[in-house]
Amino acid sequence: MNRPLHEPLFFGAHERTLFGLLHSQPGPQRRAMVLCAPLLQEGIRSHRALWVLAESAAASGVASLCFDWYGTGDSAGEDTALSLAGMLADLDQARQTLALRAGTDRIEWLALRSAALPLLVHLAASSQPVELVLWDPQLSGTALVESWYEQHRAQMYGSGRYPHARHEPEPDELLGFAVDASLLGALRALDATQLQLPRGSHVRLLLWQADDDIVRFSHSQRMHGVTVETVLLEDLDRPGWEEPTQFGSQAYPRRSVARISQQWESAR
Amino acid sequence: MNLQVDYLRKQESAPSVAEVTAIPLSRVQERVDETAHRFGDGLIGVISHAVAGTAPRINTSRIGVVLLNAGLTRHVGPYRAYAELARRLAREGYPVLRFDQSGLGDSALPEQAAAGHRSREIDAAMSLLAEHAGAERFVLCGLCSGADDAFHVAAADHRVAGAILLDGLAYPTQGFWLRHALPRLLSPTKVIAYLRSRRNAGPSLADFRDFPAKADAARMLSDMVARDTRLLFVFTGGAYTYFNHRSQLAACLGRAARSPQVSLEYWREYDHTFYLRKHREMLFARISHWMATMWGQPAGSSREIAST
Repeated sequence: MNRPLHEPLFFGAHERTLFGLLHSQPGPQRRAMVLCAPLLQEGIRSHRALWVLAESAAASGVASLCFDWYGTGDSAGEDTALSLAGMLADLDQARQTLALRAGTDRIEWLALRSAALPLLVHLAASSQPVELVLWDPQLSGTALVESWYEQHRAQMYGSGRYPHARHEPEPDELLGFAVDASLLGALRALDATQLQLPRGSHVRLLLWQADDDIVRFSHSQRMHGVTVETVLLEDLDRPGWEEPTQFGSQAYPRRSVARISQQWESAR
Repeated sequence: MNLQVDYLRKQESAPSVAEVTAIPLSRVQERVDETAHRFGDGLIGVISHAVAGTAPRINTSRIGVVLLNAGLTRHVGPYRAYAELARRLAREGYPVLRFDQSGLGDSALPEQAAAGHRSREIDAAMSLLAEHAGAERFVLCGLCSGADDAFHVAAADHRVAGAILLDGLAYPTQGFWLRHALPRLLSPTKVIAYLRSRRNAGPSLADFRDFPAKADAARMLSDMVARDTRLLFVFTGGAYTYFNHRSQLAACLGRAARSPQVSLEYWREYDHTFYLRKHREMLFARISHWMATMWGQPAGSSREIAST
């Protein structure tokens, strides 16, 4: 098997340029997948884990696109430009770009952590069945925003980051980024357990632990004709997403990444 | 101490960034053209192209800036700081490349692991910036391990005109240990914690950094100063395990550290990764000012070498 090719690209409208990295084998692909990074610091922490998954998917014949939301990473836009409406537009743009590049309309999706929220909103509006992987998804927008504020307070005042001074962040500052209040408001209003995917869709849940939201989501989807498959990952491998001392470190759950990659390999 | 006020006060006698570059200090929203590249052995990077016509008074066209990975963090930098810095410097007239070294961020693992791959990759990065942006000389900038890489390559490669070392190398001195240990000796809990840490020693700084032997570092710095390589050292409170006073740099690296080619900031109140935006703004302003002072005048004029 050839080593996948990597094509870094800017795509989308000139006034809303997005950065992405396409992992693929030469020639047209039968399948293709968009990988969606979590928001804020977790997006930076988990980047390499998603890169490796995209790489293994490409090696298994699935062209894979990792991209930066507008206002994040290498994409254009200030931090404050990150918005729910913008992310929905970005998903559409990523889908179109990947379909064109890979030569297939069969686009699958993967979302890690908070990326599940915009992705589920986007896919719930689809008229066709969808294929998606949700990895450790966060389904309650309210709980997500609260956990962000809790982590931010820990970084400011409880983590030992500033032993020699007390600093105050700007009001719109969260976890090292400038975040527009409208994004937080839109996320808070989201409860993805209430969203319904199109009948005939297939969801694979990759979980270290199932919580009540996951149970509700799975039950609701199944009731409406969606196949939900759960893969339990080794609990000890779960990154300390909320652990203040690990805030700056990379989140690379090696055994879980290997397990997911093996599944793609065996599904070829 | 209010660092911003203190720093700005120190700069009163020097020409301001705005004076030198004729660019306002506040954020400008002008669009920067960026191109994505695959180069070397599977490396991925983004060039922020210098915005033409924004800085007619400065002679920056031949200086390119290369940003080096901060630890294992992708080339966008902690909290996206590298992307923001690259765009800012591009608006001020410098082309900037941010890229991932092999095995990090978007870059592949090398086909064959080999010694010296970091310097080869940085060499490939400089060649890319030369080819696509016309840069002839380079400023390397890095945080933490990126600063270590910048120091090593700057010492070895004569195309490197300058280096920006954020929490870069320094060595504990007697003065360091006195300042470090005395306040802790007065705290029983800290003494107990220290004794416990001695018994269950985890990884030390040396396991994560790439400092040369102190004597070698002093010689490398001296050689760089002799050939007029400019260096900006910025230390934060995050380097407290090995740096805790401005005088320490010269104490550990010798007279070269006091030369006009070497600029130094010690921001004890800041953290290692510049978590707060106001701290990043301060850093970016300092870097902009240093760049303009070093390379903002026509070639041959060296009257504005900063000594802060």
